[in-house]
Amino acid sequence: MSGQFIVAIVGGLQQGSTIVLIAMGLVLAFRATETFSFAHGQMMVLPAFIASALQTSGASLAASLAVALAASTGLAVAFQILVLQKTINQPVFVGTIATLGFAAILNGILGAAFPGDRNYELHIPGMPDQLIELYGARIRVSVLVVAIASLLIAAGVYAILRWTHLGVKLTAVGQDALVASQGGIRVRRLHALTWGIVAILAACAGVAQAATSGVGSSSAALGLLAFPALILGGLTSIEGTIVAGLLIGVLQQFVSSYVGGDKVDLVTYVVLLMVIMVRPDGVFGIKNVSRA
Amino acid sequence: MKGLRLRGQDGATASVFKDGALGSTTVSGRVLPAGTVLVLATAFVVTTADSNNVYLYCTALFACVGALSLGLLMGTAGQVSIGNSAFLAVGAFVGMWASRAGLPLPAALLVATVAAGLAGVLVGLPALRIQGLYLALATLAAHFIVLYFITEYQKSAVGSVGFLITPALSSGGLDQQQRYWAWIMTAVVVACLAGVAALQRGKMGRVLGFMKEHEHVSACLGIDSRRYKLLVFVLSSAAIGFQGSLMPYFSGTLSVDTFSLDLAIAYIAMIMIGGTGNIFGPVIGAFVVVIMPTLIPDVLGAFVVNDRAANLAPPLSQIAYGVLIIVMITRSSDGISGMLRYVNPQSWFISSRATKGSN
Repeated sequence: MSGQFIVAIVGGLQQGSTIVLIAMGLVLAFRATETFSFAHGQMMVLPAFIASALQTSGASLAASLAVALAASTGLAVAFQILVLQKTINQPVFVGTIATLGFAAILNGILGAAFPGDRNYELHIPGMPDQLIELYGARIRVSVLVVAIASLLIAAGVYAILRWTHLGVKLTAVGQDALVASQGGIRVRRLHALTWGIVAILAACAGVAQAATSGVGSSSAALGLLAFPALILGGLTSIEGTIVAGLLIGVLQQFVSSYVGGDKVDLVTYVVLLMVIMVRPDGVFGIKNVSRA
Repeated sequence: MKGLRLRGQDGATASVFKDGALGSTTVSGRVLPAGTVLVLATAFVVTTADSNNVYLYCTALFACVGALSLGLLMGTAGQVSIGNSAFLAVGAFVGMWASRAGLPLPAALLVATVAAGLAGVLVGLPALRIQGLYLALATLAAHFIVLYFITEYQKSAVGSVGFLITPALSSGGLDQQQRYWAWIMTAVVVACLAGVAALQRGKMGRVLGFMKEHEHVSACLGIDSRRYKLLVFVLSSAAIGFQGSLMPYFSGTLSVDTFSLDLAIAYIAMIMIGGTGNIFGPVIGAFVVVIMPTLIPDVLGAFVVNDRAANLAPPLSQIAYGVLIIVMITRSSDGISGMLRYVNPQSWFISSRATKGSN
């Protein structure tokens, strides 16, 4: 096996693990409020920017991450309570458009607070920066660390959703809010909580992205590049999302390493169109897509 | 406020009937007032405003075409498209390609319009088979796919600066040229208004309206909603493509950088701000979204030192229309035209008790 192949595989799994975190957030947001969240990229980048700015001004990593997480989670929950809950009973597209508005606001905040002419970095102490040899390929250890950490977080969230009382309640609300509310579940509170978890997942993805390729507003595009994984995974299935996210990540790395970095967007979105055309309910999803 | 919200709950139903209740239901009855307002506004702007403001007014009129198309799609088919920017780009670049290949201007515009319509078929065909908001994702995909190809074309044809052409109608000088454009675009927008009104009034509009209200019933009646959804999407794509094909002849430049995702979202903002219940809603939205960013530096200049103001203006205008979208969503069921619906001119002259039954 050639070195390029190994690098593409490992890099792809790392990219894929970040996409898994993003797509899990998108799935949760979709299950809770039936909105495609177009603000996810901004929700990724915002905490990374805040954390790096605080760190540059002298705060410790833990403190800056905590502040950043609190800020972005608070914003997301406030958005859910103040805006998305008002879109119930309105046409279905209103919630999705609200996330577009939210994205525009966050974009504006990012642009005003963190002008593009400065460099931002998130320095993670203890992150190894040496290279290792793997089947003849030289790979940065930090890439492996970030990939494993992301997958552990994803597995943790999966475990919470699958085996805890809270997770079962979240699933119930996602499947049928009305029935769940009759079972004594506080639907609104859980929806707000879901958006909190969505924000935390987005922040994790943003930090993972920042740790491997720096802090930049261009990372927000990754929030949109994860949509093929969301649809391929079947919109509602967490397991499917994990597999699909890794697949899409590997595909993107292979395209960028063998075909050219400028074709990553093209291939990813062609895949999205193809999935919508051929398997709109994804590979792992419950078959509940109805054709109009 | 409470009453407003309750009325808003059945916003879709209200919009179908209220439009009729407020004015005439015939096509000409709905287009004439809007068209008259527009023509008077153009006459006023052309005679009084300076060249900068005429340019801004023309830009807003251009945006009206895209906004009316998107409003038709969202208002009748209930679908969101993030593809305005992509279809504009298809129209602009195919038109440029055709005129560079030697086609005369009208033929180039026609080719561009048809190409944008065909792109609409390609994107709409898979996405509109399925219920839900898949069109939003498909048009998102289309945006980046189109962006890739036009970037490649621009790189191979002229390089990263973009195309520079002599604007049409430039013989009479800059001022005169922009006045001509203002009148041309007024005609185009009035034609679009008439087209939208005719489509909403025609079979397609009624079928889609019925389908939005009673999805299962319409299926039982054997209505093939996919055909109508696709038709409205293709028509709106073609209109946006026409707008795109005209744009370079107005501004004199054409570059990939114009067609960002933010532009597509700005069009959605126009619809959310203007609303779709009234035929004039998208026009109002287009004017608000186009003109607002130009006011922000002035407002800002009053508070901040000039240097910072220039940097802050673009992000602040983004925040402003993000906030406007959200305010419209939470406070009105249908943007500004939804708010206007509760303004009842009759009640200004007759006591409120007398008009209660009529509205």
